Amino acid sequence: MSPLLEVEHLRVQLPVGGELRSVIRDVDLTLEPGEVLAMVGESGSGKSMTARAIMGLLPPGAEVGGRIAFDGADLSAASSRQLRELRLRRIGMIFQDPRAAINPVHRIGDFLTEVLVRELGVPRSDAMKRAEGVLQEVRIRDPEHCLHQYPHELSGGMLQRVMIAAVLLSEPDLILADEPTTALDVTTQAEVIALLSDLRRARELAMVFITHDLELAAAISDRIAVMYAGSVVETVAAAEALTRPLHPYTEALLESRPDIAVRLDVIPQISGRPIAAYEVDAGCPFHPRCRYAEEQCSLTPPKTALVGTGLVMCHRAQERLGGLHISGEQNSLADGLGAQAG
Amino acid sequence: MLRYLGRQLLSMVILLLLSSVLIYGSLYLAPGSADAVLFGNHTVTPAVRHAVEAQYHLNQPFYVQYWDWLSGALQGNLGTSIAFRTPVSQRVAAAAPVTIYLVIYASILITIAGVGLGVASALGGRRLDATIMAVTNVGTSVPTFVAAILLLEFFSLKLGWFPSLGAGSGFFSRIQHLTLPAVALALWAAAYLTRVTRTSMRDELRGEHVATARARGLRNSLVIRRHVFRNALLPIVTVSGLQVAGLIAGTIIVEQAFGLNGLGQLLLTSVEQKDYATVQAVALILVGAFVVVNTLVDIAYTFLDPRIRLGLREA
Ligand SMILES: Nc1ncnc2c1ncn2[C@@H]1O[C@H](COP(=O)(O)OP(=O)(O)O)[C@@H](O)[C@H]1O
Ligand SMILES: [Mg+2]
Repeated sequence: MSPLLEVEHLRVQLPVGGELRSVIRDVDLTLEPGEVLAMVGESGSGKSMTARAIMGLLPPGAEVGGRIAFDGADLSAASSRQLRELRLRRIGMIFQDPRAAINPVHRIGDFLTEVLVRELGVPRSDAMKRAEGVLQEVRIRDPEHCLHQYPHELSGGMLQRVMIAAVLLSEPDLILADEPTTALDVTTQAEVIALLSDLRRARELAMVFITHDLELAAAISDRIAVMYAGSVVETVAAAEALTRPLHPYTEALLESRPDIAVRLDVIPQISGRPIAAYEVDAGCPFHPRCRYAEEQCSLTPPKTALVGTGLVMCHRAQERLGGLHISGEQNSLADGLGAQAG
Repeated sequence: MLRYLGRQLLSMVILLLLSSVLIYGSLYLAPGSADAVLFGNHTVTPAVRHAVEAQYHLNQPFYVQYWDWLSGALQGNLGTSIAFRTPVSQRVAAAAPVTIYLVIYASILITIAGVGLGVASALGGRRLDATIMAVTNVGTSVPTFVAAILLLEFFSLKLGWFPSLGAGSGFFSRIQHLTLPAVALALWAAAYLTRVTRTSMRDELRGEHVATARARGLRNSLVIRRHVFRNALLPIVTVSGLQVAGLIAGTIIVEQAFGLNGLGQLLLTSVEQKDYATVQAVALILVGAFVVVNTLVDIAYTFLDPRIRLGLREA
């Protein structure tokens, strides 16, 4: 089976105040049909830009290098007409804040059907019937009424369901979900996640699920790609990421995850501030914040290599695989708990 | 929705009534009484004075005079011009068409040029944008009367393309006569509307709902029309409405510069002649038009923004 999506050596630079700034540095990703890949990383690490690059929707003036292939076809060679065709029928995108992503001036019915009616030549009444069908599928209680409502009459959770419905209408093979629950409250988050999981299983969709929550990523995905400063620092099976993080950044993310934070009653921050892709110097992008950093880490950029079952971009990945890190992490957690109790 | 419209109409009526009281009252209190105009330097017997005052209701208390005037005005009877001894409504009817044509002509110019240039500026390349912005800079810094004089000087006196005076008769002659005045009247407002349109379009272009529309595969022209321009319309309509309402005052200057016998000119000459009935009537009409245009803008909002329609947001 050939991959549905292949991203090779993707580089993106964006114009900022007259100069080009790196936001994506040499990203590789692959996705099989029906697979779910989660992209995890702090804000600003380049998750959204990677998704936008795949959609061909980068900000004006962006410089793109590398190769993106969808279903075997090279997208960098695609015409804008072909790209549109792809967005119409094969790739759908869900955004973080549905209230910003859905135009407030059109009724839900118009929003859902506009692509079918205006681009795909579906008669309006048929399109409305199909829209009603997908609203049912995303578990909106009174679909017929909903079609006549305006976005501001619906809650954030309902609107995100509408957004998902809009994507389902074009029957894509791949969904890019960019932090689809970050703007929602906690109970709604769980419902929307469950819905997305069910839908993509039922429809055998491939999905790139972007989040900053490693645990959520592990729960919903098959594989996880951890991003830092515009690079993928670790790509690993979802279960492995939680139990045996090989990259020190993944380990740090794991320690700062919310449920542990609640238990510790403090939010353990990863020390230091995250750097942007354009600030990366000669060494490893993570070395200024890394507790395992050695001299070479600040001098040469690590190569991505197969370590154990995952792809890791770390000079010390091989030796960490030897077991050093796990005991280390648990000790530090135990220390934290002990300190809290005392 | 209906309640919203009702509220708009009610506040319009209240505003109209208030302004009519102000207009009537300020002239009632103005120095130079009607007597002085009527009798000039003649000395008249008390009996004659009394008879004349009774004819023009000058001996009644303010509120009675006001009510007579207002109820008359509502029935199309605007009183009698004391200076000319002709019904005011006749003089207004003679002057109104020029002003109405001028305002409509200028409104069309403002809307087409302002929205057209604004959209071009927002969507076009950097050079086009810079050119249009430079032009609007000039446009917004030239006062209407200066624009009028420059246009007259150049297009009428130097090039002879347009007549310099009068309103013309017949459709084409009228258009020819009113073109320069309408351009002078429209210039400032069109330049301003261009800027508003450009800013509003640019704000919407950055909106995330536009990214959604593109991500769904909608073609560019539809994205611009349904998700950028449609959303940018709210500030555009507000400003156009205010500009058109503002034209009603602007006509006074332009009519004078181009020798057009419209309402603005009538107002000025009537003030000079202390022809109160005419001043009151014209002022009432101009202010009334202003208030009505503003109400229409508010109502247009209702159709543009569903959040206002449902009473969730104030216009
Ligand atoms: N329009 C833009 N122009 C220039 N830089 C941008 C733009 N949008 C985002 N960036 C920068 O690109 C980097 C990656 O952003 P993004 O992909 O949105 O991060 P994430 O989604 O992981 O939070 C950030 O450093 C951000 O500041
Ligand atoms: Mg993002």
